[in-house]
Amino acid sequence: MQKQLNQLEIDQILDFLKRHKVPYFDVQLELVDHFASAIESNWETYPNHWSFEQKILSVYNEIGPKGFTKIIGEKGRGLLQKANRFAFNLLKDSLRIPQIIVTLACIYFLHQGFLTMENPAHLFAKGLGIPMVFLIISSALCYGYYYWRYKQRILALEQGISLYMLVPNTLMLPVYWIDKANFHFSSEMYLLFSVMIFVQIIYCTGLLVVVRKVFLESKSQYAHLAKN
Amino acid sequence: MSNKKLYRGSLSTIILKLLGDNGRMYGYEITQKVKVLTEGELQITEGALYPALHKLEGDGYLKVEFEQVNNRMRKYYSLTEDGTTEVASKLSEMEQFIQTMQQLINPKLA
Repeated sequence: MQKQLNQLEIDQILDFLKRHKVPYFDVQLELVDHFASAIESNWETYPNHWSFEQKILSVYNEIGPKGFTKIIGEKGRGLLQKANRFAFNLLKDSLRIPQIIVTLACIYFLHQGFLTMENPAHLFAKGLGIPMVFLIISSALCYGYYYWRYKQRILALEQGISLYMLVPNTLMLPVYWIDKANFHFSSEMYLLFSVMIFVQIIYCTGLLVVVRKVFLESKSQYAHLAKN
Repeated sequence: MSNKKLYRGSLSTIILKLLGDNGRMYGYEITQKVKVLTEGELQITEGALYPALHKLEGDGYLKVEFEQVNNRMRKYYSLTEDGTTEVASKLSEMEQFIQTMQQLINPKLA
């Protein structure tokens, strides 16, 4: 009968992968199984005096000269692709007639509101402050939920981070620039700001919805793996 | 292996075909199956296999499920509907490629 690795040996493989900076939880699981299967299948071929660590190294050497670099890189690219797809779908979904009507109506009211504001500087604080507070709270919630509660890193966390990277700091750059230049605010400029801030808030809200959805999907997929 | 480069571009096709024939498989099983089928002529390294699997998964051609095996989790891959369509397309491409190569290498037989 083929030898089966015990829990201690499985943990040793997992430690080895962590030492080699394999960050993704599902890749760790996959590689642990790969290493364990290879060692179990070839148990007879290893010299008796080899330690278990040497057996692990022997499997590692078969992976290729670049070690785990290619595996991790491809995984990261895949996650980013997925995050971009989510973001794209989010934008695509918001381009429907009811959403467009509501968006235009909100922009109009924001615009009118800004026109009556005495100090335009408040605009910057609100434009920057709301999304930032929103991001910090939602990131902390997401991180806490999956990292502290389950003590495991999950795909969705990376997806979430990738999505947050897309959060429109770029949208805020023109605001900073104009603010620094002490630009005179025309009615058109207020309209532009109204659009930018509204898009930013809608986008951030949408991100939270999407990220929550991804987390819930991942939770059902990985929950049974993460209980420890 | 000297002909490693020749096989490199065909890895996705090989994986999709194997999954089409065997239903669901895990990484190590795929490497061993290829080794057996090709009588050791082709050995897929893990450094090439897993990126290819993750890419196919990312493209929506593969779905995954985890299962407890002994003291560890095992990740099984199987084809999605898109993946099943892709197998036919990739195999057709491959046959076309082999035919073209045959015409170039051995015009008399072609």
